Amino acid sequence: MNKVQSTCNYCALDCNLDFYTEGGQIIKTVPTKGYPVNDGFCCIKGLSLDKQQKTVKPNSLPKIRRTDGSFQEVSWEEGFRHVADKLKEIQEQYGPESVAGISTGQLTLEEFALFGHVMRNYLKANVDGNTRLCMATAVVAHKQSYGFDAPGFTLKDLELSDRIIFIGANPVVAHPILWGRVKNNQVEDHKVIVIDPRKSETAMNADYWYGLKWRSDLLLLYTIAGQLIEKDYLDHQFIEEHTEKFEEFREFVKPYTLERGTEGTGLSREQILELVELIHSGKRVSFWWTMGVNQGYEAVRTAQAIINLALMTGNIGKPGTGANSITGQCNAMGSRAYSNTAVFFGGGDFTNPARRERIAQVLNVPESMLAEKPTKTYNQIIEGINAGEIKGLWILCTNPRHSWTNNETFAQAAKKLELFVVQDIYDTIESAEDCTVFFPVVPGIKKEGTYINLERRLSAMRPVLARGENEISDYEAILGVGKALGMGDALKGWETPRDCFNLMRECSRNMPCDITGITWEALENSHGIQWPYPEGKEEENKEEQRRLYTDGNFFTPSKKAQFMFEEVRENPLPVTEEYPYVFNTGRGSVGQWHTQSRTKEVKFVEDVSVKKAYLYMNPKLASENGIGENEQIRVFSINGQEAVFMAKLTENVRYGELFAPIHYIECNKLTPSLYDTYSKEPSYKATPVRFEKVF
Amino acid sequence: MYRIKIDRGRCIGCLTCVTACVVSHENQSGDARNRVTIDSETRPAPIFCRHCERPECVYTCMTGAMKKNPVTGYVEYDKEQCASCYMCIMSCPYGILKHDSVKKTEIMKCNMCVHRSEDGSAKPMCVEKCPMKAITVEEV
Amino acid sequence: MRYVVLGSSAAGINGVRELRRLDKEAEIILISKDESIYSRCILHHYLGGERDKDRLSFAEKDFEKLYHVLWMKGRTCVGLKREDKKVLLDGGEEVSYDKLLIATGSHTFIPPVKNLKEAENVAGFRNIEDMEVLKKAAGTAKHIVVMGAGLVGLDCASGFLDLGVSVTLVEMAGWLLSRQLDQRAAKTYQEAFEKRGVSQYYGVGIGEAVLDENRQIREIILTDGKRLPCDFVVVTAGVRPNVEFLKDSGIELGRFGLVYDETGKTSDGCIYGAGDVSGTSPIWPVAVKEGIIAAGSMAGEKRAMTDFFASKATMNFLGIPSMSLGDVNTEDPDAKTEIMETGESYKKIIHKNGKIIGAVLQGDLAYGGILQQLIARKIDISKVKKPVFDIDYSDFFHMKDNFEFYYDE
Repeated sequence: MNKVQSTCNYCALDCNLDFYTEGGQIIKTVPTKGYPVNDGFCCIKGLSLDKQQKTVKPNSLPKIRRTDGSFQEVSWEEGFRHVADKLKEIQEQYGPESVAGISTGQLTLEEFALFGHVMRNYLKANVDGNTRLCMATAVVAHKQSYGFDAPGFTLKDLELSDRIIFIGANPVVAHPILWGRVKNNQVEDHKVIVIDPRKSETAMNADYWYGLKWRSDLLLLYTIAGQLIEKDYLDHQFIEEHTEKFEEFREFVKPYTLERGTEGTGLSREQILELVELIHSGKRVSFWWTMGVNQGYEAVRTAQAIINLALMTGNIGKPGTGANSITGQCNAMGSRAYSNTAVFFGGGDFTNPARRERIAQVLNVPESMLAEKPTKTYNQIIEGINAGEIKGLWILCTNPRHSWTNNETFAQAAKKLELFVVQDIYDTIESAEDCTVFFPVVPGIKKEGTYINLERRLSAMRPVLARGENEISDYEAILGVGKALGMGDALKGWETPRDCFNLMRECSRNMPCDITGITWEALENSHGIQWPYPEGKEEENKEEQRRLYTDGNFFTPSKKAQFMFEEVRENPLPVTEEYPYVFNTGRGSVGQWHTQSRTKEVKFVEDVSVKKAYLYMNPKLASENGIGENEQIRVFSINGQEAVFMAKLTENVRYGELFAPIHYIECNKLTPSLYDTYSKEPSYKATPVRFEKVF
Repeated sequence: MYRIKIDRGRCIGCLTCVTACVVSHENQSGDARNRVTIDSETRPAPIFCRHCERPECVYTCMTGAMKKNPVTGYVEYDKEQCASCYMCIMSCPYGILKHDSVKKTEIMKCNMCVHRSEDGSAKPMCVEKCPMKAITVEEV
Repeated sequence: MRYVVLGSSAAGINGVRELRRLDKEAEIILISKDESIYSRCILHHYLGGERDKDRLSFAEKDFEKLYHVLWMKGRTCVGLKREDKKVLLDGGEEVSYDKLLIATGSHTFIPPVKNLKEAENVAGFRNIEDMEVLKKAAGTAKHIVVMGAGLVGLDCASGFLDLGVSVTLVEMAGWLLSRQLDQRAAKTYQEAFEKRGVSQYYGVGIGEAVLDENRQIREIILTDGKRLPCDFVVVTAGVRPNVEFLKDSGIELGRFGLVYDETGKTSDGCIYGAGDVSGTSPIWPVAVKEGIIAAGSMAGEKRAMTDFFASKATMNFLGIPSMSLGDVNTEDPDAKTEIMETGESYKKIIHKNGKIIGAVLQGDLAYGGILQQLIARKIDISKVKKPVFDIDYSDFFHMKDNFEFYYDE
């Protein structure tokens, strides 16, 4: 029996697993003991990675759609040539920005780096990632508040904190291993606090639950800040030495009175004051947020309002503290730092001359080949297709027909494309229905590369199983197209993922996310290594669970963190008489992968998965409308779409608020084309709707 | 004896117990000895070995591999003695048993994780890991 | 109180255990022809050399001590004196009892085939003594013919394969395991046996054994006239109860064997029966349960046998698992047959009017236990809104105060 340690490529925890193989089969999967993230445990998704492509598997050769609509299987060389020719042809006819890509936080660091090089540098095209649907808000918040997209925490902080405050986060379902770390917390009298409009599975297990009204989180956070200031529950020294714009913030929050807070959030005066006291009485207060915060129309400011609370109480950079964003996808952070989409490889603006020079030097290409501006955002790409400006699209490892907000707009877009390349491990995904080219690639158990988890930990994916005939990786598919495009010397040094990793290491030199001290080999069979890890400073960074900002210095030019704030906006999509209810969305189960693409063939998961779209409804609302358990309702969204769901009744959702799991295509049929002003992340969580019973 | 109490209403179908089962036993296959399924009304049901008072799997075992321990009350399985005849699978009234999916020789049978404790007492990892306290060890 | 138990197989041993559980003080005497406790269902593993004698035992190593039982092994009962409450043993010895459990089992049935009874080189597949004979035959015989391709016949063929010997199977029915499997599932085994060099003849019987002057079979003639070389025959064509010694006792014997009610009681209030001796359901789980129930009745704990569902079997030949339940080859026009096949498994479930009446699982038996309950209890599954292959206990979930499951019917 052979053993290979590799990284789970589902969620952002990046658990490590030991795969035991025999005769080309995975015999057993054992969560790596002693690995700092998951120390000998994992969730059902990771444990079931061996089931990937067991029963559902496309042929290993690419398919090109013929004029009659059917597919023709071709050799890889022919597939690369076809895509390359088409990309060039479209660009020649309609301009460089008439082709675009949508990448993902699911790929390895090396894969989206290469994709960013081919598409963004060489072709000058736009490439956004589905990270936009997930982490863009946190990224912008970090950049503005800290000066760099650098979440400072380590997962160990969950075990050291005495006030663990989850805001718009449901780790029991979304990040079970992270919840396991909460369960490990032995700090005396520690409290778990949940702020969520829904009595989530995490709220059920918390010491305190604050069930605020939908989209009133920013108001609540400003109200809390106002109370902390009023009661002088502040860390004056920290504010003085390590932050800027506090005085402006103090003035700003004055109108956010307790009265206004109670009125807007639906929480009582006592509840808000209790929460304020909980924060004040904690010695190590940590705030943790995820999609409930990130996916809103004023999400960046909400995330920053959380950061403000940590800054003003000095709860940052110390054990058990922090304003901590829980990432969604396994390589969201790798994508943020190394996809060449919003910033250069390793960070830095596309307009920064010094950075341009350095990157060009590392990649050994003329500076003029580098991308000149940040990518058009995801929504702009889809809108561009629908406006007829973008004619070619290449998506990798993502399923926007299902996951994109207001997803019918993607369905429309897909039909307008002259070239639509879908690259995935499954040709059964909804997005592949209208593709003109399908590139079948191997799953993570047959790939190599690097992942970066939510606490900045790099870990190695190493091939567990050998590849079969014609089976290629995402990396090789992108490289194949790059060569067919005639990139020539521009691909020198990119030959293998390992070569690419070395390029990225060099790109990171002297940046906050410096990984120059990390080698490809050092990541193998390791405990992972957190960035920063600069060459020559290995000794001082040998601690396995490190946090940033321990010296109070941030990445802004002044080294001080910024208080960032803005008035609470009027809801651009309020409930109306016609659409009086709110449609909230989120993860519905541990086992189902987002759009179910990768877990449909896992029996463990299928055994507990509801086969049809469903949503949760308050029993009072249900009885008023004569709706019984498991009866069908048709939901009409303010976006003009409608879909049928099975109603499941629970007191855990508020009257007037519906909650639909994201795993069904009906869910995002109803979500709106509304985005955060700064991050352009969709507002998935609060759509005005109405419904009627289906008879 | 001790038995795992199931509070079905608390179960959210997260499969942490199933994961724990596989992890605890480090099987030579990725099989679990418990399962959770949803019924026709989509309510999750944790289906766990009950270590029955009158264990059909023991009655039907023709090698003595499946035995009821008179002291602990647990139904114990000895894979060395087992002849892989599968009669226990057929006889379990609640459809809990299965054979391993690789070699098809070993019966996937709950042992209350006695291998995890020093003194051979029950220490089921599924119960430890359940985030909802839907399963608990109780004396009956 | 003195309990005497006759027979040390499934019914007898479990009877002793139950008697001791219920009565800590009583005297228990176990009398058996067998010299050791062994499981007849795994004798093929002994023949094939996969298991030694020790590992044939299904009882605890210190069984006698543990249950404080006097075991008279290697002894045959030759008669029963009910009026004196005494069992008569070979050699004239008598053992008295207060209550008696008859669990003497069954023996190989030799069908009335010409010359078969007379032949020397013929054996059954029933007792450990048979295995010693077969082991010897495996070393010398070139053409072993197994009569019958039922569960025992295939056990026998498998055991020989483990010794490197490929036998010939002759079966009257159209395919092997014709009672348990449909043609499709049988084919899997037929091909697997074929691959291992086992010749198979279906739809024919053995019409005659041709003997030489030493009463050795040299050839057999099939019912279709075909002649096969043969120098050993193993007969696996059913069993008959061991009731010979009861003939003159006056105890009621029926068409099949010893007659007893659902509590195990025979026509004699002090005598109970369990297992194959009834001649009705010669399968292991029935024997065990009857042993336990009869012992309970003897010791004053009244329980009745309710589980008479005996058309069930699991099998594992050449590493291929199968399960058979109920009527798997129904010709009932109202029955609906559903089949699911993947590369690895074959599943067939037959239902009628909302009730499952038969099932075959092959390749993957996971969680198949539920099907036995649904068939045996005739549970209505029309309320289950799932594919029939996915039915599990969740739709019948009920828990007692002690957290055991049950069916609410």
